[in-house]
Amino acid sequence: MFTRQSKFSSRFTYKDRDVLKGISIQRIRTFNVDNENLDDTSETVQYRVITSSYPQYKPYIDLKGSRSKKQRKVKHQYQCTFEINASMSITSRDWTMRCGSEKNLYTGKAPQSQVKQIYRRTLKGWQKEASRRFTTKREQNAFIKKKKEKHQKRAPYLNQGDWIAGRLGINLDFLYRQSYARKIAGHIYGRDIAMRPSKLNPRNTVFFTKHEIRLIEVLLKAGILKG
Amino acid sequence: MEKKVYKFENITFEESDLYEFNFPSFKLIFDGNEWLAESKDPDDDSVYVIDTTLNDSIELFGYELKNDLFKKIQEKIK
Repeated sequence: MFTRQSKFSSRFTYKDRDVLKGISIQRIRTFNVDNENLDDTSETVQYRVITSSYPQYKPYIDLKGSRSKKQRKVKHQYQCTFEINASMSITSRDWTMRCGSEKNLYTGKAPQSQVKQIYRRTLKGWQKEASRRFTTKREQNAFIKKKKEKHQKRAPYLNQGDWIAGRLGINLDFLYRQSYARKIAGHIYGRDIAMRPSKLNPRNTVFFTKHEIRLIEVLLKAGILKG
Repeated sequence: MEKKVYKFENITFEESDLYEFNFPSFKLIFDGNEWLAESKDPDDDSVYVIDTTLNDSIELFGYELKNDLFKKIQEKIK
């Protein structure tokens, strides 16, 4: 498994801005019920670690430079689920993990009322309304500008990506660059939602997102995951 | 079943046990409080809460869960 290639190294920097408040560790005892005689069933033990984290934006803004000051204000909170066999060892090959929710990716457009980004269709509607109500170009432009400002104040999310992350809890870094690679490597946790090979990870390299790196680091420090 | 709660570096850790009984079409889960039946079909995210006073039998995801078997399952985790 590759965890530190140069192009993925930024995730090691960004993991430090992740706020992790609580970790739930479940010892799962599984029994297979093939017939009605439960005495013959074999028991398997697995551990499931569930957590959710969100980034602190201040250091992120400083790292990214002044242009990012306009960045999102809605916290992106992702659930990370990590399942591993009873050995709880970092060297174990029997593990699955997912960052973000298991919801299906919404392929349509996010509702206009919830995103600040103005869709062409909305703008056309405003232009139509402006030309109906005002005669001069100046008045029309002022009307559209006011409409834009009013809308952008109300809509909580920046754009489609922000809406998907904030509303649906889907981590797009994981979904686009990692889900398919994990699936073919047999390390995906949860539902097998439609995942396709991605040009963003052409070699299908298995790596960890910053939220997952943070979780593994904490588990190692706490002595729960054995080195 | 007891939950173990502790803190490490300002992070709250909560440890608990969970029981899963694998049936052909669904999983029967006991989380310490409730019995839940969850479909194995990836397109079906429905979850049912099972009444522990189950008198006869109940059909879950095309499987008939009989009272006898459910009682045996409940015994198993004691």
